[in-house]
Amino acid sequence: MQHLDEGTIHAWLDGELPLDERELVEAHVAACDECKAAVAEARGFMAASSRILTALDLVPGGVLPATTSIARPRAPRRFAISRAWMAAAAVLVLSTATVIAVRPKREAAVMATAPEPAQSGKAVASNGPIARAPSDQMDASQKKVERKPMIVAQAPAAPAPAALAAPASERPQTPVAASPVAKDAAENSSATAGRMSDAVSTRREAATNVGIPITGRVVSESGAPLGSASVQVEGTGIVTLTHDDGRYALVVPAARADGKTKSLVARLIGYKAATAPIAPAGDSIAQDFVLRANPLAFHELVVTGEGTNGQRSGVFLANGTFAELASRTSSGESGEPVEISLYHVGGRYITFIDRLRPDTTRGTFQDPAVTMMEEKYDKQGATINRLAWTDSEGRMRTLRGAVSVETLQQLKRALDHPTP
Amino acid sequence: MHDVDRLFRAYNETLVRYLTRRLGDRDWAEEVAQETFVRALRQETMTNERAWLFTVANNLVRDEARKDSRRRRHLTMLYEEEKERVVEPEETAIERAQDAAMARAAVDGLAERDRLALLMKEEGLDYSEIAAALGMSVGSIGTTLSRARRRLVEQYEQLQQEQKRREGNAAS
Repeated sequence: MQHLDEGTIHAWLDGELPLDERELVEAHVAACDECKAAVAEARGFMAASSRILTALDLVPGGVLPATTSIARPRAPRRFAISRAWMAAAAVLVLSTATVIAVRPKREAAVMATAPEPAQSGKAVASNGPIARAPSDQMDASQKKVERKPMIVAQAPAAPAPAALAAPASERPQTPVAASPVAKDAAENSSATAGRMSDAVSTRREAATNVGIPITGRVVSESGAPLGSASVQVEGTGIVTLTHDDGRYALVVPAARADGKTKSLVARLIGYKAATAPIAPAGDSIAQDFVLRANPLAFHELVVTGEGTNGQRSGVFLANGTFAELASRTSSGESGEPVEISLYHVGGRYITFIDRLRPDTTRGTFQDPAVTMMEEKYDKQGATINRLAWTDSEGRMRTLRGAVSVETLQQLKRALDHPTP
Repeated sequence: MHDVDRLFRAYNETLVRYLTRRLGDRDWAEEVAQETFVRALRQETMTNERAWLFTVANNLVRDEARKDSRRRRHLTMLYEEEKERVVEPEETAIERAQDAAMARAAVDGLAERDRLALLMKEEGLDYSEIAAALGMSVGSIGTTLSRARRRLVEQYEQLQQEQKRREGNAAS
C-alpha cells in the first residue's frame, strides 16, 4: 500500500472510512512511521482548527448570549469530567507505555503555545486559547482548558497499540518533527527535548517492568468498534474500558503474571459477554473480541433502572449498546450501534442515547435549575445535537448525539413505550 | 409538512452557531436560521433534514449577501452599538477581540467551500451530509477538510506570530 494521503487520514480520524478501507489504513499506520507522523500531525490540525473556530463564538461585547443551548452551566463540568477522568486515569495507570507514545507531542504543543514569562498580560492573552486565563466571561475557553487532559487520554486511541510495540527510541522524533506547532518548540528548546526523551525511555522501561500489557479491540459482529465495553481479567480488579474505536489496553501486574491461564472477559450491555483464555507470560498479549448483539438487554436496562428507586442522586447506572433500533432506521445509518446510558438523578431516570462515533467524548453535568442533563461534545468541546423531554410519568429524558431525527424519534418511542 | 417545532429544537442551536461562525454576526445568523425554518415549513419532503437545512441556510446567505448589503451594514451598526453598551473588563475584552479577530481573519482566508465544509463538520455533520449540502462527492470531503484544517491553523499561527512581533516591538 502506498503512503496515505492527507484526505484519507482525515477521513479516517473523522470516522468516515468504510470498514475495509479503515482496516487497510489502520494496518498501514501501524507499520509506517511516516504515516504515523502524518496522523499525529493531522490530529494536531483537527484539534487546533476546532479551537480556533470556537474563538468565533466569543463575539465581543456579549452580543452572543451566554448560549442558546438550553442550559450550559459552569460548575457541573466536575461531574461531567469525572467519568472521562476515570477513563483518563485508567489509561494513565494501566498503560503507561501507551501514554508515552503521545506525550512528547503533547508537551511540545503546550510549549509552543505557552506564554513566555517575561511578557505582559496582554501578550499572554494573545497566545491563543490554550494559554488563555480563565474568567467568568470565558466559559467556552475555560472548558477547553479543563478538558485538555481528556484529549491526552484520547489521543492514543488508534495508533497506540502499534506504538506500544515499537522501540521507544523511534517514537519521539516522528510526531514532534511533523507538527508545525511543535517545530517551534523544538527549535526553542532542544535541550528540553533531550531531557524529555530521556524521561520517555525511563518511563518505557518502568512500564515493561510493571507487567504484561494486553491490547486488542472489541467489535460487534458487523465489525463496528464498541466503545465503553469493559475488559476484565476475570476474578481480579484488572479492568479497563475500550475507547470509542473499540481498542483497549490493560496491564497484568508482574506480581500476578504467574503464567497460569486466566480468563479475559469483554462485556457491554446490549451484547453477550465474550471470554478468552490468556496465559500472562512473555512480552505482551493481543486479544480481540467480537461481541454478539443481545437486543433484549435494552429493555432490561430500562426496567432495571426503574427498579432502583432510592439510590442517591446522580448515579450512573449503566450504559450499553443497542444495535437493533439503529438498524431499523431509514436514515442511512443502519447498522450503526446506538449507545444508551441510564442515569438516576433526583428521583428521575435519565437516558442518554447516542450513535457511537470515534473521537467523541461524553460527559454529564448538573443543571441546578432543571435537572441533571447530559451533553455530548467532541474532543474540542463543541456540543453535538441533543433532545430532551419529559415523559408521561414526568421523567426527564434526553436523547442526544449526532443521530438523525428519525433515529431519535424511534428511540424516543421505544423508551416511552418499553415492551415489558 | 414538517413538525417545525421539532426541527427547530433539534437543529436551531447548531445552525445558529454555524451561521454565527460563518457570518460573524449573531443577529444575522439568527435571522437566516429563522428563515431557514420558515422554508422548511413549505417543504414537502426532505431525505436528510440536517443536510437540507444547511443547504438552504447556505443559499439564503449567498442570496442575501448578493442583494442586500445595506441591511447588513445596518446590522453591523447595531452590533457596534451593542458592543459599546456592554462593559467588559478591558483585559478580557482585548484578549477576546484579538483571538476572535485572528480567528476571523484565518477563517476568511479559506476558500469558500473549504470554509463551509469545515464549519459544517464542526457542527457534527457527517461527510455525506456535507457532500449533499455543498454538492460535492463524499470522496472529496476528506481532502477538502484536511486542506481547510491545515490552512486555517497555518494562517492563524502566522497571524499570531505577527501579533507577537508587533507586541515585542511595542514593548522595546
